Amino acid sequence: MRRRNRKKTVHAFALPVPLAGCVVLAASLALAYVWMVCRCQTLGNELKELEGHRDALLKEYQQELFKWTRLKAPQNLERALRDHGIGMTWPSSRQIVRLRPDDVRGDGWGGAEEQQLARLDRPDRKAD
Amino acid sequence: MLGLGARLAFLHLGPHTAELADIHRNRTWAVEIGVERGKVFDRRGLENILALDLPVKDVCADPDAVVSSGQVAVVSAKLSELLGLPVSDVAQKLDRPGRRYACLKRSVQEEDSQRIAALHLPGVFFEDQTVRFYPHHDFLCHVLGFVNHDGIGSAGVEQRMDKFLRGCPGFLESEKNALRKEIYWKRDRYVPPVEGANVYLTIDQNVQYIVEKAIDTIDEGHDSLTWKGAWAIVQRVSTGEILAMVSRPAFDLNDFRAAPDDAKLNRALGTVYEPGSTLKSIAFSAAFNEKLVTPETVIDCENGSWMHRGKVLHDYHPSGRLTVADGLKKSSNILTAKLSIQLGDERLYQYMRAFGLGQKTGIDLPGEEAGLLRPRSDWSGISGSRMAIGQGVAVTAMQMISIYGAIANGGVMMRPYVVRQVVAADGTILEEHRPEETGRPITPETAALMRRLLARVTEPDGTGKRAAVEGYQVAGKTGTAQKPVPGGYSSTAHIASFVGFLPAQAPEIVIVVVVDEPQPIRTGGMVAAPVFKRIASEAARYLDLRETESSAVAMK
Repeated sequence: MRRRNRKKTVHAFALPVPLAGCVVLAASLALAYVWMVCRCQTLGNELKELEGHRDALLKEYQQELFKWTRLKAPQNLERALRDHGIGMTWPSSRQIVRLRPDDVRGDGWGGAEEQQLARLDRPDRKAD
Repeated sequence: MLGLGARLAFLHLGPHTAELADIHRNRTWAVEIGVERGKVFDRRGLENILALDLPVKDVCADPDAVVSSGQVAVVSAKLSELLGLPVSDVAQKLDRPGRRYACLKRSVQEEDSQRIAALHLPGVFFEDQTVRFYPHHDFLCHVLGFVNHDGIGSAGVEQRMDKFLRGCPGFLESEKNALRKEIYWKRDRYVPPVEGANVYLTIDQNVQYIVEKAIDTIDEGHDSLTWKGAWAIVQRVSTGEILAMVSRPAFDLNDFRAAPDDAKLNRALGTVYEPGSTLKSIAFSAAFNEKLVTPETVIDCENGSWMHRGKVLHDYHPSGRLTVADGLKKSSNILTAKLSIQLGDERLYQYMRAFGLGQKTGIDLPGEEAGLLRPRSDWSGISGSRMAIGQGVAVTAMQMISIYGAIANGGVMMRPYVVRQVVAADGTILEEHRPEETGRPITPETAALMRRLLARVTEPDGTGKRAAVEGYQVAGKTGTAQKPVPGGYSSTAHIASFVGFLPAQAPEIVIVVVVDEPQPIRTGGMVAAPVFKRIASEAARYLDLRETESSAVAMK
């Protein structure tokens, strides 16, 4: 029978497997906890930054909305026309060419009817 | 070592309730989250904003820093130029060593503040603010109203729709770090704000502009015409929607505190006046409705002077015998008075009530007056004949437009309204106004007859010829009323008005124009009718109203 080589036998404390499992689990949980706290903090900071960014964008949007509104106000348009020496009058009915959707279909003018800005939605009424 | 260890353990493990409470109090941060007030749009919605909350900046300075930099004069000069303030005022605020704060100008717009920031002036800084801003200043001022210092709507739509526009502020409870910034993950409570709802009006910005321009140029075509006040309304006949409402004098909504109270009055709703001849339509409508007369009935107009119950009544254009149709066209006082006598006081009173006199129209704006219609029991022997010609009764322009709106709308009165819709920030419709019928004072047949007769008023020999619009048949009535003064009527102060609608055969819009104390020309036909024409001709083109067929115009 072959003898065991005692020199090759390791003499050390062997942690019982269940206990080792618990330690590993605890360590993992601790690491996960730390990672999650860090992640939460990072996300919190990001959220704060995004909130600030959103507020800034909203302010900018309001400013642009305001500028756009003023630009296209009838008073401003008329002033601009006057400054450029453009005199405009309302056309008479004879000067108006009306396009029906059928007339413009296929010419890439799909929204022609919607672009009619000045119109009251009304049912056809009979004259007295 | 043991002592130190014990102290360390005590510090970490001890209760320290008071210290912890102090720390907690210092770090806790509880704020109310401001909310944006809703916007106000015209009937085109997002295209045209009439009122909004605008981020602006207060321009502030640290006088000590400015003085330390030795550039007080330079900074003052540059700031005064950009802010439009006197140099001496700015210099006085900045030249204060030891002071750390001075507000130089409030509510400066972004563009201006950026120009100042680009100069990198020492000691100058900005504070963010939000103000209610009206991009077009005095445009539509009486309808929009304004918001006071506490953010509460105090006039016009801002007041009436305040509960929707205001929104509901949020709440935040959290903790701050050493840099005084919020620690997001320590946020305990967060109640999000409910943004103010947006209000969509029935007003059309372009029609409003047309009317404002016409009112501001009343004196066009007249030599040295002066007037004390003027107001006008454009209403859609079939629905009662107000497309435009103007009152003069006006005021800048962004600087409403500087405006006199008189300018803040919306005269279209809040001023009552004796309407004069424009009210004759009630007596004519009533007489036709009761089938007492026909347009062809001939009545003696007494050559312009008629004694009734001891009082003389005159006609501006004396006539002998006139048909009822011509009596309306020539605006005969005597013929109208005789109609009212035929009608009887009781019936006349009932028709006046049915047309809404003495009652508010119920428009969704604050400050509306009910006018004045004395109870039937207070009438004297001549009251009926005088009220029929528009004396001894007071109305608002809103009431007058409702009367003519009913005639134009087949005898159906519609409740006027300026708010079309209220929409929450998430798109939910909170309130929607629908056309509402308020009464039927006359039959559709009578209304149609009145439309035909009123269209004759703008014929070349009618009193309202200056209201005629090329391409359209216009129906309407002029009014020139002496203003009541203690003991009688003024001979110099008049109210000139014109109220009418077009196209006469199938009316789409009804317009009233009132001018207070025009001088030296005083008649509605001369002063108000041309303004009506300017409004009607442009509005008809803009609204794409169907032109009256040439045969119909020729029939006139």
